[in-house]
Amino acid sequence: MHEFSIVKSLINILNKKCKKEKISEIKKINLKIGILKTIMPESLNFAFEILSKKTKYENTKLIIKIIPVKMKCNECKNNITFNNTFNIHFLCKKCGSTNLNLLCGNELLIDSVEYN
Amino acid sequence: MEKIILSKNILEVNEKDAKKNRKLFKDKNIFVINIMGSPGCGKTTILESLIKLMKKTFKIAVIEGDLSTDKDACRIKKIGIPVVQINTDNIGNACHLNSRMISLAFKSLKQSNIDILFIENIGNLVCPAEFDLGENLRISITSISEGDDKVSKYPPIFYNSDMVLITKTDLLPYFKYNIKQVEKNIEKINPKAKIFKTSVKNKKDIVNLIEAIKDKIISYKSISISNKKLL
Repeated sequence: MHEFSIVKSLINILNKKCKKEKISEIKKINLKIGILKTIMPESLNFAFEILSKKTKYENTKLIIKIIPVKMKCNECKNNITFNNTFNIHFLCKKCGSTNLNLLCGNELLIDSVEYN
Repeated sequence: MEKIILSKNILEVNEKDAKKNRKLFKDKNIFVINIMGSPGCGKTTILESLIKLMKKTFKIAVIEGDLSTDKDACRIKKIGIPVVQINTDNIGNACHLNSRMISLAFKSLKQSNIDILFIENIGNLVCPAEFDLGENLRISITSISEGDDKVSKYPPIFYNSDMVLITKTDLLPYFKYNIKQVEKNIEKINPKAKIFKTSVKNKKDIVNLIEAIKDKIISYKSISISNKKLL
């Protein structure tokens, strides 16, 4: 994945937010990344390290929460969870339906930021 | 410490641009198809085959995406179809097309009354999956020569597609390729996707694919037409 361009987008969004809320220093950025997004947290951290150097985000901590795939079967209401994409199967094992509702696992979100 | 909840999608810029594209294409009644797959999987070749037969019925335009060169656009030009080439080597070697690039490329096409816009995405089995271009149909491709483990190794692009093509089936005798397993793998991660096994050497395969695309176009256009009737 192109973690560098994702970090650039992240920084653009945060710059706008900081300007609006008059925040001078962000201590923590809490991200939620679904496993379907094929983003490697190590690469994202590395990209952030490089792109935040000599900016106001230099000392900001990036906290990444990996979100598993959770689905609900629309037919029998069974809950299905996958913690990794290996062998992921969009099928309800209980009733065999493929009519599933994806509840989470596909996000790439800035959940929250913490500042002083 | 203070905390602000943002719940902001990092890729929101592309999502907003995709929405704009979708509206523009809908207003102009253009059906847009995004073709994705690895470098060398057969995107341009199958596109050539589709266009040669479809151009009799539909007015077609193409947007080609590559890091470098206009080799693919030249191939499409030879068939007499309006085409524009996006090269991303001057914008940081972007590994995927995004909605903004499509919007600019479409403007430079300067074509009216297009029925179908084909977008041949950059050869890449990972990143294009994430970027909505404002398309109506997503086609992803896996070819015999790539090996039969690509669908299970690279789920997102296949999970996100409406149609999955298994191309170069004429090479089956020369490869250890479990095609039934590949179909099962596709069904596992995307039960709704329509699967097509194709060889451009077999006209029946192309005709079959065209019929399926035509069905999608007809339902799209009848929705657009019936929307217009309501106005």
